[in-house]
Amino acid sequence: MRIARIEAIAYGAIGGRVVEPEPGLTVIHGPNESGKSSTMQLIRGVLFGFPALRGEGPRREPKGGGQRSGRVDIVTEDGRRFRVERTHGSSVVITDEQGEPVGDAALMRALGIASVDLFDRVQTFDSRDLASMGLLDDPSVRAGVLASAVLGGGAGAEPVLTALQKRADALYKKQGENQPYAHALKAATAARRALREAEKDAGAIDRSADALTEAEARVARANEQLVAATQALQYLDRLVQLRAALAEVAAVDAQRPEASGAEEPSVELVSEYRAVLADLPVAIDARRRATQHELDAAGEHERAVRARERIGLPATAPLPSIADESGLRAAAEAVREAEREATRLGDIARSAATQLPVPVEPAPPAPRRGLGAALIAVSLVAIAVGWFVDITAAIIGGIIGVALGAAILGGLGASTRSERPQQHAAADQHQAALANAEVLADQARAAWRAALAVSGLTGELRVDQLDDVLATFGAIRAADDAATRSTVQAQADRATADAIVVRAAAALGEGAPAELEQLRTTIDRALHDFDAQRELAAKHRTDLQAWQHRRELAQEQVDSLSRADAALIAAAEALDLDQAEAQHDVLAGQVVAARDEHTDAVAALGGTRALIENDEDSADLATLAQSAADAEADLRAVADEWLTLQLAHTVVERARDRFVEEHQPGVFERAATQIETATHGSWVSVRMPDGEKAGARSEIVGRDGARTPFAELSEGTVGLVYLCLRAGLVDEMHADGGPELPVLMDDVLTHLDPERRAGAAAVIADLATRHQVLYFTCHPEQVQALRDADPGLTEIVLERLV
Amino acid sequence: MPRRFIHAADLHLDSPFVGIGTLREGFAETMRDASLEAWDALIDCCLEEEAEFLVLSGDLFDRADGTPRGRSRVRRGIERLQERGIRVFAVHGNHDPLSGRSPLAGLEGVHVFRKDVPTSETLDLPGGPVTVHGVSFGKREVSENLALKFARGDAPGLHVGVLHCSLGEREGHGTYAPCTVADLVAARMDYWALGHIHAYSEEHAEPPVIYAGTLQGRSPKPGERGPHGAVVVEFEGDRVLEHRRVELDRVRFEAVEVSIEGLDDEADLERALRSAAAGVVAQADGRVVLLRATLTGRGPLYELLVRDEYLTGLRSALDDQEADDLVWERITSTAGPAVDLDELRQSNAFAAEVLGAFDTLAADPTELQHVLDGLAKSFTDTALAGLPTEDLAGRLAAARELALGLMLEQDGAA
Repeated sequence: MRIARIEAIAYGAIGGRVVEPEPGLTVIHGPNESGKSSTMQLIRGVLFGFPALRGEGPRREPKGGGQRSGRVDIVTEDGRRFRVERTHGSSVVITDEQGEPVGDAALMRALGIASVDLFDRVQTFDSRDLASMGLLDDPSVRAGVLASAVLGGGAGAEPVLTALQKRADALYKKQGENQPYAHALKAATAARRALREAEKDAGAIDRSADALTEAEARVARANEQLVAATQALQYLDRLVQLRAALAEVAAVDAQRPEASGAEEPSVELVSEYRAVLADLPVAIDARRRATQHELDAAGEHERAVRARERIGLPATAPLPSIADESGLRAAAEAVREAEREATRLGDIARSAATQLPVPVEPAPPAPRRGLGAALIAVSLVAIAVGWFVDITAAIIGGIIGVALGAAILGGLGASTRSERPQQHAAADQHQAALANAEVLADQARAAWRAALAVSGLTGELRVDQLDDVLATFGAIRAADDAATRSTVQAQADRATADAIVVRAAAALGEGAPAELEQLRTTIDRALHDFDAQRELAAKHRTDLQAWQHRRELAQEQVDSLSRADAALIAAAEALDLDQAEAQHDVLAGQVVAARDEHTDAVAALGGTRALIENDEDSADLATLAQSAADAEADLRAVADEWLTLQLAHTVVERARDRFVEEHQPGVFERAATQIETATHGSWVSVRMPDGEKAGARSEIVGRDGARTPFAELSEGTVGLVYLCLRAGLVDEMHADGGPELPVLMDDVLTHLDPERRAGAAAVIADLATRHQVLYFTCHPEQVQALRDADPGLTEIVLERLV
Repeated sequence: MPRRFIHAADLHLDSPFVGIGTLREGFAETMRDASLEAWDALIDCCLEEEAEFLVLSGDLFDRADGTPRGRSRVRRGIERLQERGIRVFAVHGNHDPLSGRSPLAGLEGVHVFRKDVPTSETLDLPGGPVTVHGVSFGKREVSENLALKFARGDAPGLHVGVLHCSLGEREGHGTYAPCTVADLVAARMDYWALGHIHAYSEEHAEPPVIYAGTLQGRSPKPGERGPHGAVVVEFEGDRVLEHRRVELDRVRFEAVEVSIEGLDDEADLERALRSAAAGVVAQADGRVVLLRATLTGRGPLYELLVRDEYLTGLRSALDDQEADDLVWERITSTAGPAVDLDELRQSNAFAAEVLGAFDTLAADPTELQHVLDGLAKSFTDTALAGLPTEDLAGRLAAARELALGLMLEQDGAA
């Protein structure tokens, strides 16, 4: 496409200006301040959009106010004409030749893939671009310049690369101080520094472990010193104490208590004496009782004697025995029975004789038969007893009793037989019975007397006195018994008393008084003496025990201190106490010093341990380590993002370079033709280093193949070469399917000498044969050079605006 | 009842997490203590499982002498094991080589295998003898194949090999004590307790050759993501019956990808991100999840994503609204503008050239690495040494989308 008309509606000072270029080369020239640059900017703004005002400068602000706006008529390669009208801040309006809107597509097709950047870099250039040719040795500039010209479709790489670089630079720039990377690095450095400090402290912990070992060793050393000093002091003290203990033993030995000389009565003796003394009242009492018993016995004996006398019994005659008494009683009873029977029979006989017939009362047979039988039985028993025990009285009594009993039984038989009623016969019989009874009574009385005789009594005692006599016998017997008992008790008591006396005599030895009170006095005195002796002995024993205790203690002290070490004892004995005291002071001072050192060492050890334990429990190091790791992670995150951006940048660059590489030969080939033309064959081509090889130099190749680095070329030659390259780029871009766009040049021939200027003008004229070229200049010599190169060019003269 | 031992490795106790950047307030302490709490959980596990011994396959600490806090915590843990008579067998790895005195030296109930030459220790346990073989790194870089030096010997019972080594090259891990599975199998161990690779890996079934993986994930890198913990090994006599993983980590790194395709606005985007996050949080069993989201796909939201600081702001906005169990660690994007790349490749546009350049580089990872290495030379800070090491393809895709986006933007301007 080419530009057919340019109209500034409102743009800087050129509002209302219309310029109508022609195909081929159009030279738009005029003095300074004639609006050449504004016209160029207007074309760019209408086709691609007005940039922000600050990007163009205040000079582009419409003088009459309002928004910047303009119209550009373009003619596409197929000959169609469109008008592009754009107002800043509004959408672009595309209309056809009839003024009908045709939409953006027409413009897009006309511009192809060209961006404003491409337009700026390829289609638009000025003398400054030529002057910067030396920068082609900068790989990025070189690649950018080349690549931006030949992008095959879509957007150019440069804006992308710029955006990527901008974002990357916003994160990290070498020497940058305000980017996130710098902040993160600072934070990481600070965190690491803090961690290092903490690790130094941790190292201090490890050193503390060493310090702990050292502190433990110090404690051990101090302990050894303390032990040594203490032992020395203790040894000295021990010697001193041993010396004192030995002295104490000697002193105690000298104070051993002497025995009193008095023999301590034996316990047995004292006990015997005390037993005797305790028994003496018993003996006295026994003797008193014995005397009383003896008196009692004498009294009873007297009473018995008088009783004997009263019944006529000799004082020495034995008392009849109980059996004798029984015999007497039986005899007396027999007498009384016989007499009663005789009396009864007499009465019967008399009655029978005088009062015939006298009724005979039946004799009560049973009791008499019982009596007779009983008497016989008793008598037989008496005989038997007397026989066996040799008691004559009993035998006699028994005989009498048998006879009496038989008499009673015989009488009873006769009486029974006399019951037959024969009154006369009966009276006779009663007389006979009476006589018989009388005989029996006599016999009974004889037996009574015999019984008295057997009993030692006089025959003058009557039967009726028997009870009194027998009572007397009882009294005598009781008196005899009492006398006997008293005598026996008296004998027993005397024996008791005598035994005690004998025991006392045995205890006291010969000379012991028999008299009990004396004996008691003697024993009391002896016991008193015993007590005194025992007290003395006890005191001696106590004294001795106390002494022994002291001795043992003293010896124990010696033993304890010496432990049977003879050398130690000898050393103690040889000890100079004065020197020892001085030495003690020295050693005590050493102990105090050692103890202080030990205390300090233990405290230091405790402190070190506490430090280590505290450090072991402390999470500070871990916290700082995590902080450092976090800060590094933050730093890494920034670097990561930067790397991603730079990776994108690199790959896009690679894509661009690859594209450039593919197209560069064409560009150089085209450029070489132009160079050869422009230099009249002095130079035939250019070479550029591959890729981004830093330090590589761009070179121009002479006809003879010699290569000359750009840096060694004149500024004009470099500018000429650059112009040729740019022309080649434009051709290459178009040849590669790029859009056909007008080329806008602003005073590009400024720095060229006339020869180079002519050559450059020829290049421009040649370029204009294939592309529309709008050349803006205020230099007449440039216009002339272009006229010389292209006599058919179009000239448009601009007037100064102010 | 089978007998048990526990296999753990690469604990890196009390070392900082790397590559997570500054998190929102309140998580510093959780992160700081996570490795130590995982250690405590390991001790608890030993006690609960009534393990007879614990095997540590190297890199107990991040550096040879560990840290005071780490050493203290280890000491207390081992004392707890000692109370129950649980022995500990440890080797030193490339991070904590046995160059001097081992931080474990002198601890009751701990056997530290010496460096360079494998040795063995036989335990006469009530259930029968167990022999543990191991060797420590004496220096950080060990290039020798230590596996070849192991020999089972004639002792009866179970034989366990403990080794810090590289089975082939692994991304993100240096190659140390390189060996092959065949080398290990040839040593006739009944179980190989390996360390060095931070992701759990069963390299061989019979005998089991197991990388326990690190006890606690250490960074958002792929190998550190997901559950981490130890291995419980059940055995009888000289036979391993079963081995199973136990999750002991306290903080979990996760990653999600969210496509922007079909998303119309920011609200859609936030919903999509939250929905993706909910899934991983639910699987973390109450642990704190540090989530990295990558936006993928193509769509109109792309223009939003490439705005300066947008992703950072989005992360902060999401993070501010989250509960205590989720932290948005980072949001990155490989999403692109809404264009058909294939169609673009076929076009005559310069963008096709650019796409071609990206495609060429993507097909040549070595060249891509070379390019990134060249770029990274701009940075001299030690923290950025070896910077472009991970997800190079993702980075290239992100760069591509950036370039394409800018080119299309330029087109729009044109």
